[in-house]
Amino acid sequence: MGLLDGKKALITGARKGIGRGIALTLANEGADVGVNDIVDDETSRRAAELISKRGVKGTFHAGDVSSVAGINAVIDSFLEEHGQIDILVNNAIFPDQSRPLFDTDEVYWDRMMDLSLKGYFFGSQRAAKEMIAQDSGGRIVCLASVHAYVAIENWTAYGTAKAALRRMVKGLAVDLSGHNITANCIAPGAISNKLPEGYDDVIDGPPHDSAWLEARIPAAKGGLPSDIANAVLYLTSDLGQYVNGETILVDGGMIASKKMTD
Amino acid sequence: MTTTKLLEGKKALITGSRRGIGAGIARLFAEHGADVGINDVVRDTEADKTMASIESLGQKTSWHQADVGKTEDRTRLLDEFVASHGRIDILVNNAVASADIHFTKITEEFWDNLVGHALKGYLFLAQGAVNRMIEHGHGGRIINISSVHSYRAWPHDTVYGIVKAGLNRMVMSMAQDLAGTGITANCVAPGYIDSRVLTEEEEPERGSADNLGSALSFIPSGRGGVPRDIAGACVFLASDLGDYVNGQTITVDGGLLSGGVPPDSQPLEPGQPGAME
Repeated sequence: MGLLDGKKALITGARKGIGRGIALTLANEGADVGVNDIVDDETSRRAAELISKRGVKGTFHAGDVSSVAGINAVIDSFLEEHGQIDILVNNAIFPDQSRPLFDTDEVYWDRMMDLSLKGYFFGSQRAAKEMIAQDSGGRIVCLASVHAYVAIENWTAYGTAKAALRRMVKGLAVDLSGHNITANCIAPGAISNKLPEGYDDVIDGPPHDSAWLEARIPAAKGGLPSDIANAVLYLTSDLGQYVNGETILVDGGMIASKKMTD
Repeated sequence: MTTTKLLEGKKALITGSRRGIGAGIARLFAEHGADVGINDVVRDTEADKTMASIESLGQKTSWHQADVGKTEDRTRLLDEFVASHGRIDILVNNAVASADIHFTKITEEFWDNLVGHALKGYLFLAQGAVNRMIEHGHGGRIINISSVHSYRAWPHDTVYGIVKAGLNRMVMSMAQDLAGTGITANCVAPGYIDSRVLTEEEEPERGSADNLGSALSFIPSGRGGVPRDIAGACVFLASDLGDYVNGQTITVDGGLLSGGVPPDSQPLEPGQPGAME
């Protein structure tokens, strides 16, 4: 028996990294999980396969969640497989997350806002509609970031979108009052892309610079996707049922530390 | 009850745990496999009930009468707990007693008493626990119970709000100074929590919307919080699930702070204790 037995969860951007970590952690606790990603390849299907191996239902739903039509298609596909939606984790983001201020053109800005703000909003709106129709309550979790709190060079567009998500979940909490739906953010700090054993590592990009981390994070180590996944597990399980409109930082104390912006 | 036990074998001391939120934390910790020390200023039938419920879950419990506002009591409390359990893995600073008082009526005595208990008391109990955790060498967890009053002002809550805001800031420094020890320090900030003493028959009514009155319209989750909600956040922070959460305050308020609506409580009427003249 797990903390999420029988729940149906959709995780966007879950082909690898933090998204895959969340998908497999929720599956470990008994949830049926739909993996979404814009990339449809063997790795994506492997994520769904790893979920099924845990004795729950794992499905893959390819799609771009940066438009309303795209989100609706993904949620339709999820509902077709799972019948209902109890948990939505908005996690999708493209790899090119930081850009210098004067290189940030309209195309980049729109891409950032479409995926990580508009996409998260309309995904939440659609999921909430389904949850209300099901009369089952539900949980919406958005991935924010430490960049929602402080400015680090070249992260303005990303940080702006992430800061807006902190306010967005408060609005969802208030507007969804009476429907037993909670909406919250998890704000990761520096997270390595190393997945635990059994999650089938898919590492692309360089690992974090450990000297940089040690100088800035009291926990003196980078976080793992499983740290973020565990916070999502808390919010989506009964343990977190009264947390609403909140953003939980999972950063090893990075933001609390004065060294952050050195 | 879950079969996923998140605190198996942990030794936890929870202050102010004879009833209310503290007792709720103690019970959920025990459900998750922790042995729990119960502390309060007096032992009564509520304390006995709390301890019996922990024993019925198959966990060890110990009683520690102490006033965390007193230096000698704090030291004795930690010594007693360690003597009983062998070590301390988790400290939850929860004990507090306060009263509404208008700003103009705050006396030095009132200030010294509340700050002495709920800010100074928490700091030095945490320091004592941390020193014992470092000595033992296996890390640990410090959790302070803060409040939504740390973020927003309600009528007549000046000193209480200051103390709670101080706790949020305290854990940030602890995260910084305890780097490398494997100890994390965090706060949980409850909103409106129905912590009344109820009979077993009345227990299902706990947190129900019927008892909320005007407060209900300010709580998006549509019910009052219950001690178990605060306990859930403490289990998260105290377990491996919360390993990378450090120096942080988690608000558990059913969305109370999300709205921009005014606070729900009414100022004291003239003539009531603590009211402005």
